Amino acid sequence: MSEDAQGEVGRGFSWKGDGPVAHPPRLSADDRPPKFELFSVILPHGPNRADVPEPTQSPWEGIGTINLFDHGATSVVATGFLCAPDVLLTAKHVLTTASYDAGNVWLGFDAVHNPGAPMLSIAAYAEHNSLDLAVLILTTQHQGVFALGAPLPPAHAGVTLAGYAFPYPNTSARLSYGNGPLTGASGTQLTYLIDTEEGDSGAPVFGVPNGQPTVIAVHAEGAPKGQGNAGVWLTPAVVADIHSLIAIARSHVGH
Amino acid sequence: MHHRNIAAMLVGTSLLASCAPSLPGLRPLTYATPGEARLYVSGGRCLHGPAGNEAAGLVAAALLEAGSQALKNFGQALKDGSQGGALQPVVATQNIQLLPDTSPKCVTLVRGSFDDKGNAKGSRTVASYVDIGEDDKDFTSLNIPKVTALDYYIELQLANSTNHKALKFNPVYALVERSIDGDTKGTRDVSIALKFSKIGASDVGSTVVLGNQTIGAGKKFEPQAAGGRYIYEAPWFGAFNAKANDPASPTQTRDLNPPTPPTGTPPVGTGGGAISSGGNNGQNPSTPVVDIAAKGNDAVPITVSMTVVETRPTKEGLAFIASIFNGIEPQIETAAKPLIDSKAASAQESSDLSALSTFSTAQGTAQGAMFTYCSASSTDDTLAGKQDRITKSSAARSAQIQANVAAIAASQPKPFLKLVNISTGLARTANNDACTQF
Repeated sequence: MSEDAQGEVGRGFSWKGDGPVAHPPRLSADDRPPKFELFSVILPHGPNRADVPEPTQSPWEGIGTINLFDHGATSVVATGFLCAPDVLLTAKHVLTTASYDAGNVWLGFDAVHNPGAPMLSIAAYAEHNSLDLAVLILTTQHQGVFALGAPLPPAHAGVTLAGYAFPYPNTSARLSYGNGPLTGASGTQLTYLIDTEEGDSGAPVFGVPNGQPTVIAVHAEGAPKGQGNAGVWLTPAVVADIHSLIAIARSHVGH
Repeated sequence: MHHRNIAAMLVGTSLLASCAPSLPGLRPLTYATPGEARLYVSGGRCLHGPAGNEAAGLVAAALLEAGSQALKNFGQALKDGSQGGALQPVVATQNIQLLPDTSPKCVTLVRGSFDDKGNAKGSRTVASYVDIGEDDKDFTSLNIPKVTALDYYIELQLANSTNHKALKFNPVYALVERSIDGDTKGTRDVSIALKFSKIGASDVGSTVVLGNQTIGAGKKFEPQAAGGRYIYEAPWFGAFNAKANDPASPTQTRDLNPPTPPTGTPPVGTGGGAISSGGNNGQNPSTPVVDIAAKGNDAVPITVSMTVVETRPTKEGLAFIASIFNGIEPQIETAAKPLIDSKAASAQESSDLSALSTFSTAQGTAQGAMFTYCSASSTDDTLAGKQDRITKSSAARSAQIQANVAAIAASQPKPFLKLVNISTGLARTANNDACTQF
């Protein structure tokens, strides 16, 4: 399964001529991308992230908000993304933070730009034993699948993170994104200078090399100020584990 | 060491409290420095909340109005302490509106001399005192004015129990920049009470004591590595904003013991079956931030109050603290009884149902009064006719208000948004909107 996964993510993939980066560079201030008005980065409470104007288009259509409920009250809000037409990848702690008795997913939902996104049901789930990863099997199939795992981009390229942490002023759900550079990689953790908050857990950290939205990390945690926020780095071995998780979850559909 | 002193005092609580009702050793009111306290209630996490995983846990609890003994004790201790003019409490309130089953996530108290225009000489942002970036968007969203002097800055983080049946709060940051009697050195014990008030319901809340706070030194409180608990936590208290008709048990529960994965599957993880759907009745998804200015018929008005009392680490001050916790334990037991005792749980449900029953009766009475006024009041243009219309419009309005109050007590939407105007005019003319359905 691991070999399959490696082959899949390796096919036709490069960051415009830059080969795999075994040890991502530590970025100096000069290497960082120019500040943009909408998403210049100050961690962890930087300026607002940018709206996603067309959540029904690629790559945003494959990103969704997860709500878990307890006795009819929302107990957890988080983010996930499609890694197969019927599989949502997210962080494991989304499922373990609080008690719940029900849960749903809304792909591409945005209270302003896509308020009609349907509520989706979860047929089964699987949690990684040690990494902060989990998969949810949906009862229906959808467009907007992200590829998993890739060589890290060069310093100047930066990455994008999109999720549901920053609602509209009236607190309705908003899909927003931020761009920023990677700051480090170690073991299975990737850190990046992108503003995040509660609700972003499970968000994809991705690029679009050669037109293919490809996730390199699953956002997991905010970090103390100035250290960069962090996610699970989708190395080839981790991608293989994800495919195993999908198999485990599928085996529970209908149970 | 100081905590031991407090604990030791707790043992002899009732004796001390009864022997020194006015706590004469405390500083008199006249030593209080001028200043104003303001409360900032937030639906998002606290500015100094711990960094960590970013799944947004929302605060909601299903138990109604239990476990406020600490709050009552706080009030009594404050009353006793104030009898000799010895205690100067800092009190601040804020009104909010919440949808049922939601709670704010953070409450911040700031006491100082506010510079609302922001141009006074020497004024500073509060952020500059408390290790927060001045352009931090969460800070700026609170709209805290600059201050020419800061006394207190205290952040309380709210959280629910994992079974959603109780709430607690804990300080995540506290700064006593200047004591209430003007000291800029030394230490103080800081007693904090947080209270939630809803029309037609008992106040709920709890208290916490921060021992040995060094004046001028902000302190951030981190969760302990094991279990994520905090050193300073208020005793649990019941929810103040739960739906009255919350089911006693979930319709379906999560599969906590999923089947063993099929043989041959790599030992990567474990899985489970379907997660029940429709937990929010098909409404739009929620967000990580709770709306504290909710609108609409379901929104419940709630007043949040925080009271802070500062005492010196003297025996009189410790007596004050001790008296707060005097007798709490058995009372907590009482409050927790519905959680563990099925008979008590039934009593709790009965109480909830009683509120619903009262509401239903009041609603029916109001509808009857509305029908009588709208469809059966006199149409004569005589003195008797006018008196009849005044009597019946007045009765209808009163019944509407009583039904709305009963609805709030039962955590139900108000049934009458348009109240009848008391009038001598014909019902269909003077109150056409209210009479449409009658």
